[in-house]
Amino acid sequence: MEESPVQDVIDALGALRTTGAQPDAGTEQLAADLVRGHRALNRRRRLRIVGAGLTAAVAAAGLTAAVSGPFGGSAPSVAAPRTSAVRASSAPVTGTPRTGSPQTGSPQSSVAAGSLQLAAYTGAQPAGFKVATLPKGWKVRSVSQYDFVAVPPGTPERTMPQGAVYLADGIAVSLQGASRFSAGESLKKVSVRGRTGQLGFTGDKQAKWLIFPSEEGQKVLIQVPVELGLTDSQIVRFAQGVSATGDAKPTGG
Amino acid sequence: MRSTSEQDREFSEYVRRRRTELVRLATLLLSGDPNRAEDAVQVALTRLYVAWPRIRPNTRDAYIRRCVVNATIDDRRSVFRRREQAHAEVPDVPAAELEVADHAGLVTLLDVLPARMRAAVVLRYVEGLDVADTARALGCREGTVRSQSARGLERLRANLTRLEAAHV
Repeated sequence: MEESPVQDVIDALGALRTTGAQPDAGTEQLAADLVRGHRALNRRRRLRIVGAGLTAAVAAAGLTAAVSGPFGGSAPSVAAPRTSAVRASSAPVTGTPRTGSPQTGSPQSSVAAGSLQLAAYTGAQPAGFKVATLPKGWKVRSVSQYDFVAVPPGTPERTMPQGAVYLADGIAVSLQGASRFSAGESLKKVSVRGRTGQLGFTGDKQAKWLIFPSEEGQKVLIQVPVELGLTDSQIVRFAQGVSATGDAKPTGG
Repeated sequence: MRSTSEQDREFSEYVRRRRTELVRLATLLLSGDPNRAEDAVQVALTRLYVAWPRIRPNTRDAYIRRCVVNATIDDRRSVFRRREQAHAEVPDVPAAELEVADHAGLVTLLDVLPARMRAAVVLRYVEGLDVADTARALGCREGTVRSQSARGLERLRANLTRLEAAHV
């Protein structure tokens, strides 16, 4: 049989597999690959691209009822029955007027420490989490097995690729997944429903993470951008109403 | 659910087995430049790590090859933007340096091909992938792989012939 006119080229290309051989990956190289992966995951927490088939954005699903005291004040029971003043509107709940910040200000500037109130959250529960309370007036951006994201009133909508959720401007609840505090980060021990959690900054200092064990054994991560201005106490008080279910799934970040 | 340490162990083991091959692939797609190839592989592996929990084990190879191909294409685009270099013609290299059996000569000839055609040729005939796996790595139809790889081979052969004739 006559040889193809390009057979010599095919043979030469095949030989490239063995010529110019590369050295095998060393231990240090493998470790560096892992470190880069960890860093990327931490960055991803700020703007996470969630994988295929997840997270339908939930538009204005926050149905809340004011039941408790100041977010940063004396502790209301997060297990308090959702009784009073349930609002059945798809619009965000208009809670106590914010103090010290103009309505026209950015969402970040609108969160004044000590002035927010927790409100019982009666909207759609994420498949993977239970969220009992939200700051009054906040809107739910995403509910899924992977995450729960709520943003302050006035937060602009973000155009994201399909399946993506923008996290840098609201409270995000997810499983810890592969996210880790940076080595040497100063962490504060806090109590969330009797379990010890850790509160500290992300590696880029742009957000705080509260990581705590849930009843199902998973570790829950609550991310709060620093620019929202929530105090540690407020973050912990929000966490008191958050738990993961057996259906929760970790994201890539 | 896998723990992070388990994921890290799986990832490291996978990279240990596949890294050399990936660097070779990237090098062939980036004019034989090992430094740019290393950069592209690092980018691809970082993407793989982030996506690891979502990727089924039997699709990891296709995913990482695709990441490497895309990273090399991104690299070349940035190089083209910076330096405005483009090879519409075969580089003016003596035929003696372009022996088809010569590694560097063949890499030089590969460099003349358009990016995706070059990737199709390398994946099919250097890495030895079948048409279906090559299509998965490139994110295109099998018919596209067949036409791209066939044209790539023809162009490689034609360029070699032309160079040989010019230096007789």
